[in-house]
Amino acid sequence: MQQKVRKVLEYLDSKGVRYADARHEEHILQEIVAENGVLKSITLETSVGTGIRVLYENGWGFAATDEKGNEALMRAAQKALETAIASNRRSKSKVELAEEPVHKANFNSPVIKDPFTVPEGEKVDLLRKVTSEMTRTESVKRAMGTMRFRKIEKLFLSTEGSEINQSITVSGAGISATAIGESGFQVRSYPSSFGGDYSTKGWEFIQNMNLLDKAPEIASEADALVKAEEITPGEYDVVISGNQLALQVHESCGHPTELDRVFGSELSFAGGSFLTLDKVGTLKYGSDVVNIVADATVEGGLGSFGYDDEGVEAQKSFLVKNGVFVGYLMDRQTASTIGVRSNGASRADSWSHVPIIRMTNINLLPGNYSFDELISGIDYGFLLDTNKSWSIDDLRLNFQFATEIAYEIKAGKLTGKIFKNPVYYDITPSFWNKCDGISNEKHWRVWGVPNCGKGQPMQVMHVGHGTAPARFRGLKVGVKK
Amino acid sequence: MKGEDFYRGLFRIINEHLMGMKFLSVVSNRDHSLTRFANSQIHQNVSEKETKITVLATEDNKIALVSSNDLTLSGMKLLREKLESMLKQAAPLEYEFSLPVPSMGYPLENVSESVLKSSAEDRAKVFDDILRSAGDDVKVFGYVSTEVYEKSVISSGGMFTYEATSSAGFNLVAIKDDGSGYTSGASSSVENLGYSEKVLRAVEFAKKSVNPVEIDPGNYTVILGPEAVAELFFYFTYVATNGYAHEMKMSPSNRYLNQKIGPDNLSVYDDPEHPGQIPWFYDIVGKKRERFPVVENGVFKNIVYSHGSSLRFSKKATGHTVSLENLDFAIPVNLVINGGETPVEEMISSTEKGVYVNRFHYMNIVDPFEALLTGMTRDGTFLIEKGKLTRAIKNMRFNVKFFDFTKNIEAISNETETVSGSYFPIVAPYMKANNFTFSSKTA
Repeated sequence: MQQKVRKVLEYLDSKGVRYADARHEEHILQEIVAENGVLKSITLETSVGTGIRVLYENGWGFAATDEKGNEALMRAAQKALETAIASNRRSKSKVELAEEPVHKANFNSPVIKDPFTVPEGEKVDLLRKVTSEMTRTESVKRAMGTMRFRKIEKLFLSTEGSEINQSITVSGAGISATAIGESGFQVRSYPSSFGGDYSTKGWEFIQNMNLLDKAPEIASEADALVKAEEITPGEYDVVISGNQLALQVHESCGHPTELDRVFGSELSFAGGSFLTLDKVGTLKYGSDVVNIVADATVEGGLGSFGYDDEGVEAQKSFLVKNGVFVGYLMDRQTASTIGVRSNGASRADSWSHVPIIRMTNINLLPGNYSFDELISGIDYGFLLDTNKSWSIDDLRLNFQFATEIAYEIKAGKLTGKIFKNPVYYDITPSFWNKCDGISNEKHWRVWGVPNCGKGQPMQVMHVGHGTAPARFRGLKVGVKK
Repeated sequence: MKGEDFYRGLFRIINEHLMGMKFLSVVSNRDHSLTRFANSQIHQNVSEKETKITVLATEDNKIALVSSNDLTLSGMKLLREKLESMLKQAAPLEYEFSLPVPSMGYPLENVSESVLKSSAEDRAKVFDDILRSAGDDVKVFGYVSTEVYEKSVISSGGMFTYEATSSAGFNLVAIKDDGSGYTSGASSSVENLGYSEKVLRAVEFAKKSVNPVEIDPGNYTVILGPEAVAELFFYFTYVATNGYAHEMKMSPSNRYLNQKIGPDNLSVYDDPEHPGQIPWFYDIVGKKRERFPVVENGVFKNIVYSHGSSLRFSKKATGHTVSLENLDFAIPVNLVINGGETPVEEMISSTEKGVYVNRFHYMNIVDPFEALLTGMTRDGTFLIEKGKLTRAIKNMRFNVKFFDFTKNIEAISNETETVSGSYFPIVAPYMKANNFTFSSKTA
C-alpha cells in the first residue's frame, strides 16, 4: 500500500499541487454489551480506506475511498484535486502551513496485553457476572456493561517526504445501574458515565478497573439515589471529582482553545470561542492554581499518539499557565497564521474524514492538596461526582452540568448523605477563578472521552483529560425548572 | 450510485457465502460531499465514498454482528468465519429472538439528477449565490452538501429490499458586527433547497440583532422559529418515544402516553412520504415505513418499537429500528410537526411582551424522567414589545420540561419549513408558548 500511496502523491505533485498527503487506515472495533446478566450484543466492525488531501494554490480538497486498487486511488486523488481547484477559484487569502520537519517514523501505543487476543467468551463472562451482580439490588431494573476495543493501523505519507506508520490500540469499559422507584429512576455509573473510561492501553486497563468489585457499590448508590432529596438551590462550596472535571475541562477549556473555532471555521455548527487572539497572555482564565496543558505524549492517554494526521510530532504545550490563558490547539495552517509551529492537534476520526483541530489530552495539572484536605476546607457543601448532562453556549462561556450524585460535606467531613439530580452552572472564567485547590498527583489520572463530536461532516474523536478532584468556592448549585 | 441490479447480484453472493446460516444483512453505499465556508470563504471541501456490509447472524437464540467494507469474495469468507467464531463464544439472549418476517418490498428510488451529477464546482456555485445574497457587509459561515444513499436489506429467509435516496442540505450563520442570524434546509434535490429566501432572512436577522441588550432570566412568552421548535421536538422523540424505555418504566411516556399534552392542533408524525422530508423508506431490518402518528390532535398517541423491543415485550414493531448494534433503540427519523392556523406575523403582533427565539444551541437532557431539557438561545433572539420585534437580546439559557412547554403552547403557525436538524431533517412550524423558563444569562 505504501508504494501505491506514494505513486498517488507523485501524480499530484506532477499536477502542480502545493501540498498533498494521504492516510491509509485500517480500523477494527469490537464491542460487547451485556444487560442484566445476559449478553445483549457482540459486534466486530472493520473499515479500511484511504483519504487524500490536496492544497492547490490556496484551495483545499479532500476525497476518500474504500477501494484499494491503483485506479480507485487515482480517481480519489483526481477528485481531491478537482475539489481543491474549485475551492481555490473562490479563495481570497493565502494558505500557508507552519514548518514541520520531515518524519520517517513508527509509533505503537503501549500495550501489555493485546485485547484482541483475549477470548470473546472471557469478556462476555465478565460482563455477564458484573451486570448480574448489580441486579441483586432489588430496585436495579437495568444493569448494563460495555466493553469496546479498537485497533487502528495508520500509514501517513506527504509530498514533503514524511512517511509515518502508527499502530494504536484502544481499550475501554463501563458499567451502570439504573434503579427505579416511585419518583422516577436514577443511574449510577463506573468508572465514568456514557460508556465508561478508555485508554490507549491493552486488556490490563480493563483488569485494573476491578469491575466486579465495584458493581455492588454502584448498584447500592443507584438504589439510594431514587430515595434521595434534591439540593436546595443556592451557592455552595464544592469539590468536583476527577471524572466530572474531565468533561468540565473538555467543554470549557478544550473546545474554546481550538484555534479553528477562534477563526470561525466551526461557527455554523459548534460555535466560536471567547478566547480571541487579544486574550493570549492577558486573560485571567482561572485562579493561580489552574494550569492546563495539551499533552499528546501522556502514556496511555486516549488522546495520545506519535504523530497527528498531518505528520506533526506529538507534543505537550500550555494552554493555561498559573491561571493565565497562554495558548491554543492548532494545526499547521492556523499555527502559521499566528506565526508559530503547530502543536500537533490536527486529527481525523477515520480515513474517510479530513483532519481538523481536535483535542489531544487536555490535562488540568495536579495541585498540592490531599483529597481529605480539600474536603476538610468546606463547612457545608457537596462533592459532585460523574457526569449526567452537559450544555454550553456557542462561545463556551455559559455552561450547565448535571452530575449523577452529590455527597454532602459538613464541618469538613463527608456525612454519608447523598442528593440526587445535582446541577451546577456558571460562566467559564468565573468558574475557574473560584478554584482554590486541586488534589495532588496521587489522585490525578487521565480519563478517556471517546465521543467528542465536532465538524461537518460530524467526526467523533477520542480525547483524554488528566484531572484530580478540585475545590470551587461559592458555586451556584440547583436550577429553577 | 450502484443501482438495484448490483444489490440483487449481491443478494445471491451473500446467500451463497452464508449458506446454512440464519442471517439478516444490510448493505449500504454512501456517496457524500460537503463544501464548508467561513468568513465568506471556502475552507473545507470533502467527499467520501463507502460501501459497507453488516450481517446479523443468529443460532441457538444467540446473535452476533459483523460489519466490514470489504465486499470481495475473500472478505465475505472472512465475514462468515468471524460470525461462526463469535456465535460460538456468545451467550443466549434473555428473550426469544427471531429474524424479521421476510418482505419483498418494491425497490424505492427518490434520487434527483441534480444531486447525482453534483460536483465540487456545483456546490461552490451555491456558495457564490449565498455570498451574493449576503452582500458585502455581512460574513457567511456554513456548508452545502449532497449525498446519494443506497440501502439493501437481505435475509436468509428471502428478504430483499432496496432503496436509493438523494439529499442536498445547507446551513448558514450570517454575521454582521455582533449580530447574527441562522438558517438551514434540506431537500431531495439541489433545485428545491430553497435557500435564497432563507438566506435573506438570516441576513436580515444578523443586521437586526446588532447591539443586543441584556434581560433578566425568568418566565417569558416565547415565539419559537422552526429551527428552535425542531430541536425541542427532536429531544422529545429521543427521550419519550422509545418503546424499550417505556416498557422498562424509564420514560416520561409512562405518565404522558394517551394523555392530552397540548392544544388540539398539535400533531406530530413520522412521515417518510411528506414532500418536505428525505424519505427513509425501510427501516434497518427491512420493515416498510408508513406515516405514523406520534401526537395527534394534542394527544400523545403512540410510541415506537424496534425489532428487538417488539420481540422482548411482545409488541408490534413499528418500522423505527435504526441500528443493528442496539436492537432496542427506536426513533422517528422523518419527523413532521404539523402546521396550525396562525400566521407568524399574527403571533408576533398579538404579543404584548415576549421573546422571539430563532435557534437553540447545544441542547441536552437534564432529567430524562421529567423530560427536563436545557440549552442556549443563539443567532437571532429578540425582545417582542407591543406586537413588534424591538431589540436584539443577549443569549440566555433555558431549563424547560417538555410537557410543560406543550401544555403552554398558545398558537402554531400555518407556515412550516424543513430544517436540516442536528441529526436528520425535520419539518416544523413556528410556535407561541407561555411561561417558558430562561434560567440564566451570558454575562
